Amino acid sequence: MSKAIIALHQVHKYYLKGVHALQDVNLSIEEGQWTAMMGPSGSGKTTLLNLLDGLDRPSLGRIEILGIDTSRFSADNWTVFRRENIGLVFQQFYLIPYLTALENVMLAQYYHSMADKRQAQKSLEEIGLGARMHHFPSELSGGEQQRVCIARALINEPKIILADEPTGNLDEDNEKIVMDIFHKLDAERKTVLMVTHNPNLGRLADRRIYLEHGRVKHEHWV
Amino acid sequence: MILKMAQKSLFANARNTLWILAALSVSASLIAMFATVSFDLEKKMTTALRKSGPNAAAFFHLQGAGREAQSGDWRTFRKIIRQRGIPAAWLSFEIVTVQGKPVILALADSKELARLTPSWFVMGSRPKEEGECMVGKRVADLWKLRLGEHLLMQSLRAGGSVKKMNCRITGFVLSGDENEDRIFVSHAPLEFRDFRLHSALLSIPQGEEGIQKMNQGLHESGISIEIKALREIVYGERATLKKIVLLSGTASLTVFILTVLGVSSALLSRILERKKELALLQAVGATGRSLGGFLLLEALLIAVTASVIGCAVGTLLSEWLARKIFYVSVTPQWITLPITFVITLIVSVIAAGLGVMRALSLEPAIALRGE
Ligand SMILES: Nc1ncnc2c1ncn2[C@@H]1O[C@H](COP(=O)(O)OP(=O)(O)OP(=O)(O)O)[C@@H](O)[C@H]1O
Ligand SMILES: [Mg+2]
Repeated sequence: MSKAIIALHQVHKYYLKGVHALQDVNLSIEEGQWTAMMGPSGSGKTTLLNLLDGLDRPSLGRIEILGIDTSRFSADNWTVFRRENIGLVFQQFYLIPYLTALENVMLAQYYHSMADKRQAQKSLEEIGLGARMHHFPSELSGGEQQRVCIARALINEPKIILADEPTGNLDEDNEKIVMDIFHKLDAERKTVLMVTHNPNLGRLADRRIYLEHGRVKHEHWV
Repeated sequence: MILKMAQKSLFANARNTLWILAALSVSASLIAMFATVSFDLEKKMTTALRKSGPNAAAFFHLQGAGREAQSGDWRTFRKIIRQRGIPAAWLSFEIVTVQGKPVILALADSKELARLTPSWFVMGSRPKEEGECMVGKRVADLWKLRLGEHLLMQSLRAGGSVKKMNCRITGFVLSGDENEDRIFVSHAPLEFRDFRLHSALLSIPQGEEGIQKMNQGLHESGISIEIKALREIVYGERATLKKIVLLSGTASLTVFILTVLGVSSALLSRILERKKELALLQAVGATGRSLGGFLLLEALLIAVTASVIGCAVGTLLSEWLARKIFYVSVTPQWITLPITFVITLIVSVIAAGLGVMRALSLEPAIALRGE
């Protein structure tokens, strides 16, 4: 058995106004494993991902990533840890509005180590955006923006990829492109945790986790 | 990369940027203006006033001379001055009592006097007709006089007869010198015209040299009148100038503080409005420090532009002001540049710093979720 790259111990998340978004979540994800997370809207999927990428913190419980206990991380510790190890694809396409597609990708390179225009261009070409590199987010379709986000998440070759419905807003052609990218990641034995309602993507997974009302309801191993 | 990003973000929020830029430029130009005024104008104005104002006063130098001889000499002197076209104001003095206390009454043609005392500040107006008078500020304060009030002056003559003059106060004079202890009238009733002491304010060409030559001429013609260069008048001008500088300083300071508040709140809200963007930058890998650096860089770009604009506008403004009000031109003062620069910079850095602290106090996940 390979070692756990992500481990959650009795994690709870409360929001203001009495929302109990996650309740006693215990989870262990192994290196190279591909996990699909499913569940109805409002079941806490995004909340869980945000705890794993450090954009939010658990109210109770402990999270270990790459064997490191993250509970004592400062905001900056998290930022550095995240840019070194984690690629993020958001549910909404969050891009910096005044930077072009290429610059948005290069920004992630810049914060990670240094901007490399060639490599950034290549990553956009691979994802079918060779002709859209110098467009601003407002000049891109939803699917194109989503793909820029994916290129940005992968540009620094992270060990862990957290993706929140990466195909949620895509048509079939775009979905195919994104699926191919994730196929490749799977072949590279990257650790992927993906929220998806898409059965095609779900089928790629080694393991499926179902969340309901903030609890892990059941799991399914392939 | 970050510099380019800061530029792009500023252009992307052009309206907000322009707004902050405008406000900051106003404050920068005020600083520049005030600095220019206080560094340059004082010098310039003093010389300008020296040209239009009096540079000498004439007195009798022989105290013991008979009255007949005195008035004869004085008449000759007046003729000489008039012939040479030297600007002059003729003053005659008398001691009168007001409410039993002695005070000097000066008779002088208001137009003449006004021409030679441009540095005096008159609240209200100078007297024009008989029965009107202008009172020195200190006299007015002493008796708590008001504009429009009537003043009864009495003078005791050699014969034991008491002469009375009643006049309405049309103005108070602030000269910064002993003239504030006097009462001025432009016309006096006939029985009052027998003043004993005379003096004149003169604007003699070629300054000290001209004065010396003139004294020599008077001495050679046996006229017992001496002309003294007026250096102490500078004191009066200085006092007025100080008041102007103080006044404009207070006004600029007030406007400056207001713009600083405005700019800070604009910078602050600009940063707070972008919570989501900042959270995203954090998610992409920007630490608190690099975010702070980015926002400070933005603020600096605005501040630098604003100080350059402000310095230019401020200098032009002070030039215009100086021309319009004091009829002199100012020399741009390079010292104002660093002063404006530093103050503008400090203001924007503090405002941006506050904004950064507020923006980073929020969990990025919440900022990203919130619209
Ligand atoms: N900042 C917040 N304050 C209060 N409640 C919140 C906050 N963020 C999320 N919630 C609540 O927490 C619960 C879980 O939200 P979450 O976004 O994780 O759901 P989700 O599973 O990702 O749903 P979806 O599939 O619609 O994206 C929801 O009931 C939501 O209303
Ligand atoms: Mg979600």
